[in-house]
Amino acid sequence: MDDGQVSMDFLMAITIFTFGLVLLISQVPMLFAPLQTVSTDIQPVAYRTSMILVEDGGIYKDVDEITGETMIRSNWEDPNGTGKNYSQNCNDIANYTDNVTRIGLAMSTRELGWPSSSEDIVPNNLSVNKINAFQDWWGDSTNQSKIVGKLGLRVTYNDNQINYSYNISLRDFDDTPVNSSDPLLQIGDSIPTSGSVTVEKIERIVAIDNTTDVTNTTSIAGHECAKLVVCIWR
Amino acid sequence: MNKKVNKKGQMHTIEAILALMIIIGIIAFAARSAPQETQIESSMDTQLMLYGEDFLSIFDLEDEHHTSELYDLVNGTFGVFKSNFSDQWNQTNLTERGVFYKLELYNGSNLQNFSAPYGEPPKNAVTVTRLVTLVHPPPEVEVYEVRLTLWYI
Repeated sequence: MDDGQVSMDFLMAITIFTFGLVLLISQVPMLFAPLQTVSTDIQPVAYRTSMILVEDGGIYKDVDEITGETMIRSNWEDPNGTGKNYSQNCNDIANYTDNVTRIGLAMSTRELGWPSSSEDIVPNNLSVNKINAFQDWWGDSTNQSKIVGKLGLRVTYNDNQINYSYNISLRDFDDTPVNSSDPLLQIGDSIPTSGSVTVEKIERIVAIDNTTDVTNTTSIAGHECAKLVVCIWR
Repeated sequence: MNKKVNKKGQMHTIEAILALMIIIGIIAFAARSAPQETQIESSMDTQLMLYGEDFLSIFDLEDEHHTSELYDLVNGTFGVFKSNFSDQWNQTNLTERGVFYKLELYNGSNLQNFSAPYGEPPKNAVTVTRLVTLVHPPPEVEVYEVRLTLWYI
């Protein structure tokens, strides 16, 4: 019997080698993932930030003067329930901004005025009082730098501190700011438009609980709604 | 009459068939092993999922009677949403940006097509669900699943 041009040994060897190569290439995304933190971690951070703002009411932590017990509440914008705004709380409450350990914008069920079956906060329904406090906090140059930590955007990775830049705004569905002349919520750095910076944008559809003095919202299912736009980059 | 049989030719054919099978096998294996979606597609899917969850969540915001528009839809109080779903969806401008939807209602045995003005979704569509529990005179309770399927074009 005559030999073919290609030996069976060679065929077997090239088959095994090629399968190995394909298997290796298929694993490449996982091999290089640790080196690609910028491109791979921004989207989850933007997602998490939007979740914190839309589905959480925030955390205010202080110590009860009488019992000495640590108290945790979600009404960080008015922890004493006195109806005071951000500036007044900064003046009246010691370490007010330090006591706010997380900023969330979802309204409390206490603000509904009727007994709700929801627990504590109402996801996707933003409190206009919290939005105002958040916007005022951004305007407070003394404490502005604390916001990044309250949003979970200051993290330590391999002993290196990573600061994410952010831009958060409330916009109507045609992209005009809610309250166009005096935006209800427009905070953060300017979004880079040039260079190789990767900006991750997440949009959330939200209702706003009290729109008496608010313009540029859209009624959906009987609720005044808008978009919460969260942009994150490094 | 003597016929000469070319044995080398048969061996070459067998080699060619073997080589072809190996190449096809490797291509099929590589195609199945390759990542199925890119980072951009992953971001788009996340955004679609959030649009869907947010929209259903707003339709399910509880009112002082402890019901919601979504509850009324499932309960059949109105047969359709108090405010037409399609009209409400169009308020978001998402359709103009290429986001389309299909709304279905599933009661555990039957899948009811509720609103599908843009036809059937493609394979890469994202489906979000929300459970609605109807409370009838105790102990009767019915659970429905509202399915909202979204896709980009």
